[in-house]
Amino acid sequence: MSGGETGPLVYVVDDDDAVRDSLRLLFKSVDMPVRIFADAESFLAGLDRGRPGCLVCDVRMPGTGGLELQARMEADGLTTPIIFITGHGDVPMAVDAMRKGAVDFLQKPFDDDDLLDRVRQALSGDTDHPD
Amino acid sequence: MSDPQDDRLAREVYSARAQFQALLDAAVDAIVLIDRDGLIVGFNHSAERLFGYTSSEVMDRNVRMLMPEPYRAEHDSYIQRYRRTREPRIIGVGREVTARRKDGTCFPIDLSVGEIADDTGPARFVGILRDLTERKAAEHEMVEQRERLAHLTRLGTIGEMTTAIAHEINQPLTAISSYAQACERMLRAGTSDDAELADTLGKIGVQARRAGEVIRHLRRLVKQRDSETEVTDVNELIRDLLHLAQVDSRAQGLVIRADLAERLPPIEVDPIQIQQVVLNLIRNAVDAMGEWRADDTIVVTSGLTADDCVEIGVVDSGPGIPAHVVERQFEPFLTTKPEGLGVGVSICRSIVESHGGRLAFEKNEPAGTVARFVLPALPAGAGHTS
Repeated sequence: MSGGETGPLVYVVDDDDAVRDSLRLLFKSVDMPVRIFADAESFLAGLDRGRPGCLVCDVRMPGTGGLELQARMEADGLTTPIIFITGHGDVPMAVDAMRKGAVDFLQKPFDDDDLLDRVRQALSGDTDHPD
Repeated sequence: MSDPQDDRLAREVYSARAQFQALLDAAVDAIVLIDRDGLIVGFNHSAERLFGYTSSEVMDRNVRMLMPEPYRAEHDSYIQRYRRTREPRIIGVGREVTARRKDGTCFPIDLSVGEIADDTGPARFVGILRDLTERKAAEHEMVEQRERLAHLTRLGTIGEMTTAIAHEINQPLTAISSYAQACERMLRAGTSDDAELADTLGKIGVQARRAGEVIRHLRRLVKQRDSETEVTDVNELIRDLLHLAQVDSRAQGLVIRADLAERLPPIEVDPIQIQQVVLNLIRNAVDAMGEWRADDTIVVTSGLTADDCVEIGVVDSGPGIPAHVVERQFEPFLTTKPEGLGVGVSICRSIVESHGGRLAFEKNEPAGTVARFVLPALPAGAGHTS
């Protein structure tokens, strides 16, 4: 795994403090650099555009929701792959998100291997096609 | 030879009797006359139809034959007590009692009793009876319908909230799962540090309790039972509900807060029904606000009115309700929502009114709507308010 200041970054955006903190620890346990944000705005402000990354994002959040964030990133020309996580199992929303280019859609609670595999795949894809 | 005056008197008496009988028989209500011992001395056509007895079958028999137990056994003592004490229990008052037909079936009646007091002999009594079967059936049907509707909306609301509740339980489960899996990986990789492990185990415990708390609140809301009133602290009722309402609205990004007055008198209500009303009003407010801004809130208030009623308000900062809707708010099935049936407010009003309260909507200043309902308070200190 490449850590340091230039390797790929995992961004976690979830308004739930406990989910955010547990995902931070999960990525830390496999030595993947991670940055956590409580909402879409702070993520957009803290995004390191010069560095490959992958976004793990909750769908339903106060203020800017996951799908809206996806749309804004697309409008900004950001190609950071997005893995949505949801506690709702909302199928139409998942289909919509996937159609708009989300990498994957995981229902909470998920298996850590599933999440880590998806993130690794997304990062390798993102590293292959840096913006 | 008969005295012409006696003849005239006899004719007058006869004529008076005939008039009296005609009056009795023309009456829509059943009329039963009894003497001082409770023996039937008059029984009109309506009474014959109502009870299934002919007049000749009941004449000179004790009126208790028209009553089911326990009145049947006690009626003689009612008359004796009245004769002794002259204290009326039913005379001049009228009340709802149960009567018994010839075939043994019982039915509800409204009974009013008058005393025929004259100088010529012992007192007699007249009973006027109105069949309440149909009215009772209609009342019963109304109550049933209200309960069915209330149950339906409860289930509907619960159905809609299931998604939100699932979300709220899945959050701590996700955290627990991720914490545990992270710990396992660190332990296996030999990169764990005792302090961090202990810290994380503590967090897992907190999240497990958080999930339990959500379930506990849910179970309180869906608990199946008949309408039951209990002495209730209105603020406790609101706080309990807001926990769920916040789960519901937080997922949609809206803040709900409480602004509760202290030291309110207790109210005697069915807490579940009143919570349903508040929840419905909150959901109405959420719907009414449509697209909300970040600083928009819904505030649930409690307070005391000038006439010592407990008042609950749901205040939103949305666009408010149009004037024509304010004017028409008391019409059933009024709705401002394209898919709305207008049933929610009708049920809310029906529940509030069945608690002896009233519900109204008014404009909030500077923006939005206030849905407000008042409930009669118990005297302070009545019952326990736990």
